[in-house]
Amino acid sequence: MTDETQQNKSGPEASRPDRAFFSRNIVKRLLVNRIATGVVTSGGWIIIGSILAILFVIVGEFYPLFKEPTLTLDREFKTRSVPLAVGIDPYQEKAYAVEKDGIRFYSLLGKKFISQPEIPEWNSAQVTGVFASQKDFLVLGLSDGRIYPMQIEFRPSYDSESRRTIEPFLLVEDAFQIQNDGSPVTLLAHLKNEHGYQIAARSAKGQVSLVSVRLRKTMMGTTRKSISQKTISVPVQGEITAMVFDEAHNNLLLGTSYGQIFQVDLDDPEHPSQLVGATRRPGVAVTHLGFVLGGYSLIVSDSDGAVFSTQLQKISAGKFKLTKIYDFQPHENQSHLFSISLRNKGFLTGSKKMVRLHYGTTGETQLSLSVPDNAEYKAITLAPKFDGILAADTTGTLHLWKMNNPYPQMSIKSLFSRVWYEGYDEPDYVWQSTGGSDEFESKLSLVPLIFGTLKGTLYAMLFAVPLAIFAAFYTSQFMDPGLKRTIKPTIEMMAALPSVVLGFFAALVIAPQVETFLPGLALMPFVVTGLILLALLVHEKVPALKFMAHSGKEIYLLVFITFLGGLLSFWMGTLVESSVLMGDHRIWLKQVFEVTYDQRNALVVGLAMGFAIIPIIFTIAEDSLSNVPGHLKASSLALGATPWQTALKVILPTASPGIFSAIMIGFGRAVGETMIVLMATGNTPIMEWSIFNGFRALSANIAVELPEAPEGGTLFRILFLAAFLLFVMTFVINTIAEVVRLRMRKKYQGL
Amino acid sequence: MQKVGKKIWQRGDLFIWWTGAGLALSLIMTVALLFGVVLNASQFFWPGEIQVVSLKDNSSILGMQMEREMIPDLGDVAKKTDTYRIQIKRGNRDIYNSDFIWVDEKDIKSIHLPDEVVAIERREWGYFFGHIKEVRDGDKVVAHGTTESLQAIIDKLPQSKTINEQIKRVQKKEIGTINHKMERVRLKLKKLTLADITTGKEVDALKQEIPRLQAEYKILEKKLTELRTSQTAQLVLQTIEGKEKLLPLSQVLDIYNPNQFSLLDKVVYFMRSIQKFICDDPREANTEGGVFPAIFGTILMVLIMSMLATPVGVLAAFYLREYARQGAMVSIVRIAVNNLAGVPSIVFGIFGVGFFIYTLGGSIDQLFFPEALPTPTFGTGGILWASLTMALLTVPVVIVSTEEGLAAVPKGIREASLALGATKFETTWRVVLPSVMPSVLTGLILAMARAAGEVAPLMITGVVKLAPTLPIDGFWPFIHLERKFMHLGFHIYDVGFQSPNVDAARPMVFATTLLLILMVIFLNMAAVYLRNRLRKQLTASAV
Repeated sequence: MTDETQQNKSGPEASRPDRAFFSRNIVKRLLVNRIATGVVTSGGWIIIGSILAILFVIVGEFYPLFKEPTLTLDREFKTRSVPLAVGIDPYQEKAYAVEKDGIRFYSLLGKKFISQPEIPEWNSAQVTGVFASQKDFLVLGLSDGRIYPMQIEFRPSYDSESRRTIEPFLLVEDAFQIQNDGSPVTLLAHLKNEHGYQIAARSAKGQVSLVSVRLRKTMMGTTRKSISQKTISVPVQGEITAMVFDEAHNNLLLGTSYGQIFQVDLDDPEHPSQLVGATRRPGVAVTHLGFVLGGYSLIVSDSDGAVFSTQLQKISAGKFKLTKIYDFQPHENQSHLFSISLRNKGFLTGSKKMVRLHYGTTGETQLSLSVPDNAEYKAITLAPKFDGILAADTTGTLHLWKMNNPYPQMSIKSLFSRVWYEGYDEPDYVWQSTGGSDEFESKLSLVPLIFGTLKGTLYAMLFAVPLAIFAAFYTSQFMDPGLKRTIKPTIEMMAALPSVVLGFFAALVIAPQVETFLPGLALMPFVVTGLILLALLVHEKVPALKFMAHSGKEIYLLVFITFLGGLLSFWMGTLVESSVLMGDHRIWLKQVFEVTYDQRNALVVGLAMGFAIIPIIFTIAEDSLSNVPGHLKASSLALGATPWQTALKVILPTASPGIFSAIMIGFGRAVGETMIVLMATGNTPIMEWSIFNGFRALSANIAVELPEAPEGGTLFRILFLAAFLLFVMTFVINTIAEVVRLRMRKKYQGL
Repeated sequence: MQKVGKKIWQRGDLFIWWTGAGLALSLIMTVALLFGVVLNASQFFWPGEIQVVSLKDNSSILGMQMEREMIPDLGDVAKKTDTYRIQIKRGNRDIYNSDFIWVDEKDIKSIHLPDEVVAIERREWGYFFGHIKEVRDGDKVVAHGTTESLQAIIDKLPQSKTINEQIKRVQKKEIGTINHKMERVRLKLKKLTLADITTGKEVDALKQEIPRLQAEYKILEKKLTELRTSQTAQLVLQTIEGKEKLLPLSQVLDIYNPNQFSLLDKVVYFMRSIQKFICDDPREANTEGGVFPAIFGTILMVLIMSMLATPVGVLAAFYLREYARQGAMVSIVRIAVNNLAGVPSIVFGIFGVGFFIYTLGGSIDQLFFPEALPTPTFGTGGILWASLTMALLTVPVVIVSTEEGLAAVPKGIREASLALGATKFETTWRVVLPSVMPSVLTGLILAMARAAGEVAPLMITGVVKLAPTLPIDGFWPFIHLERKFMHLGFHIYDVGFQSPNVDAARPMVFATTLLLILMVIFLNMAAVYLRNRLRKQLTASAV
């Protein structure tokens, strides 16, 4: 022990600041000892516990993604009569119901009827058909052959205490006579946007009346209405049973009782129609057609109870076809109720006995609600904030369910398997978290990122493992021990290089150089091997040159040879490029292998990440090679084996677990490396194995996207999930390595 | 020949040499990287010569040659053009819109070094290369021609710099103080409002404070205008094309004629630019000026991190080695702690965001700073959270190193101490701790090196590209742990990749890189040195 510590022990007289701890009183001393033990033990546990708590915090952040959605019945009350359609305000305080004799407002909070607004020119008609959009625009079909468009508004107002009250208003438009004979209008569809609205109403067999109201802003700031009304005939078999406007293509889609779906072109004044799709078999009627938010995926319900989503795809000019995407969980009998979410791709379908919540992107059915007792569902709607369901049944009861479903698009399936997104030709793994428009749907598959991580790691390992193992092998077995003492720390110093430096260097220096000297780089191993061979022959043949490479100090010569070989191969590379590779390797690659060359690619990452992991693998591998008990080597050499044979057949097998764990630890480091992959790749989440393309890794993705992700949002939680994956991956890899190394140490002790 | 070949094959010399080549390549790569960084960085500090490049179309370009490369011929690839082009840094970004221009060598008639030329480092728009027509003071012309003017400006520069300093002090310090006080008053008022106090003595006092501060501000503003108008000297500059430009002397940071520099002058310039690089504040979106705030931020973060990580790590290591009952449980914990050092840094970063910033920081805001909400005080990235995250990242390093040290302390010493009647705590405190101190220090230094070089977790926990204020200043409580800060590593990433003018900033990034490498390598060498000393000491004491 040092003198210093002995002095410390020399007696309590020594004036030290900690003297207060060390009283002469034995009781006090024991007490202090007790306390210290307690402090260290509890402190140790707290510290270790809190370190391990990292895992729990991360899990806690992403766990809500996978929570099952829940529904709780919030309230129920009777309406005045059976509603035909219902609607609800975003705060779930007020609701409207379309009933036979008009529209009634109800207070959901007070569970009571509020008012029935007076509708002009009602003429004691009865409501026979209704089409309600989620934006609270309604068209009523009346028993006297008229249609009556109207808008419902829920206007919030705040008092001085910032308490909110919501006032419902009804704004009526002009009614139109559709059926001149006064027969009731039962089937309707409408489309409303900032230019006005269009209404389609079934008027006779195979006939649809089309009313379009265009609103134009005049110079004076007033709006001018222009109205046109016409009738379209469609040659359908059976009855028209469902209608919906397709805003994207300016079409009207019609479903028939025979099970066919027709498309009517509204741009063409002739209104030609074409058959675009059908239900599963003839005779199964289309009971409802509806688009989910974004107007891209069409949901078809049929009289068998099946619900499936389709996309309208253009097959040739003017020709369209419906392609089926997902089948959702079917209903027991025909489903005719429908409501979409204004927030996401969720939608409700309902039969008389059952309401189900589906999600358009994932193809999953999230919730099912069966009707109580003997009632039948009559009308349903999804709350605007996707946090509730309002349903009315034939007994005239309104049911309000509160829904807790903050991450409807998330499931193991949507994160890890192919998803058929809108606008795609097939299901695919896509990561695209932000987009241009409001209706953009984030595509959050983790697969391209995991792929990117593995790709980067793989190429880094391909480069680093041979180099590091060779270097460790040489350093431990053949190098002069004196030299080793300086070389080893030099390599280890590489490990200290900050990864941001490596990333910067890779992107701005290595990447352009690799692009220029790629053929040379490919030639390098061969050229260097050739040069070594040449040097060996010369060395052997000309004894006078023996001084150049003393055993154990060949490294001097080798550095020179490798350097020379590098230069030579770069020079040869340019020769090869201009003679064999058509003058430019990028064009050659493109023409022969059809791969594009990105400047920041996996090769560059491999090289840079190699820098980062070579010293790690080297250090651990070298240690385990050096620690092989000396008597093994000695006895092998004594039996006449050459140093190479000894190294290869005796040392290497003994140390192989250590080398394995070295590789594993290097792998772990490469998996989690962030700055290098962030800077030296283009960060495009593509899935191609080509070494000349970039990729996006899990770790870089976190660094890029986290600053943009709002706290508690889907993206935020997915990034935690990505971090969890990284954590688990590295933790498992490192644990395996550690266990292997510990077992090896025991083995050595036995030898 | 064949026999020799067979011999070599059997002896395995080829393979030995091959493995050696692997080592050689690793060494070459390391050296090449360091060499590249040093070379590029010194380019940033060393004064270049200003050349006049006369082109065949009788125009000329004035500037410094930066690079030479083969012209990539993308049109017709079969034909390899052996023509080169050079990149010239011609400065004058306000006139040419970019700092650099590529010139084909085949267009060049001649290159010569003009004697009469100046390089001016300006506060805005980067460098100016060209001539000075005259120097004016107000309306009076003070000096004519480049050489005379250069001397005149060099004489005037110190005075102009003093005034600039004064302006900066008024702007930053005095007006800054007033702004700070105003903000405090505003927050206090809001706090009172939150507590339902809207009238009373306290409120009135605060409300009276506002006009007083505003009056003070007016006075300072006047002082500032006076200072600004006192700077009357102007330079009339002329580019090589003869275009004139007026430049107030207050915009000039440095002026010199590199073509007339002797070697000594160059060395002096070199040293001075290193000093400026380290001590100055950044300008022009970090692409010019110095990196002082980044150095400051890095060091402060590392220090706070050390203060947090060391005691915690040592305590945990002592528990694991000295106090815990050695068994399966402790082995598992030990492996877990070891592995934690291998968990990707970004994972710690995201933990910092989720736990420290949003959970802890959010609660602190609600409890102690409700008046500032919705603007978060601690509920956003800051140096405290960054340091805590880093501490978590580096605690395993300290634990592992300390444990290694504890394992190396011979059992006999502990037993001797206990046998003499010392309690366990006394033994630990007076015998074990002193002898394990070098290990603790080694771990600490390694932790510091890791923390200094790590960027990814900081990016999401509080580093910014440009922090308006340092985390330490003259306002109570002097250390503002909630503030965002700058960091050398992030500076590299930001300037090298996100800056609008990457070409111009590249030499500067290399300089920052060199600084960071030197810092990290210095720390690592210190750790290695300590560890070696410790080993020697232990082998000596074991005898």
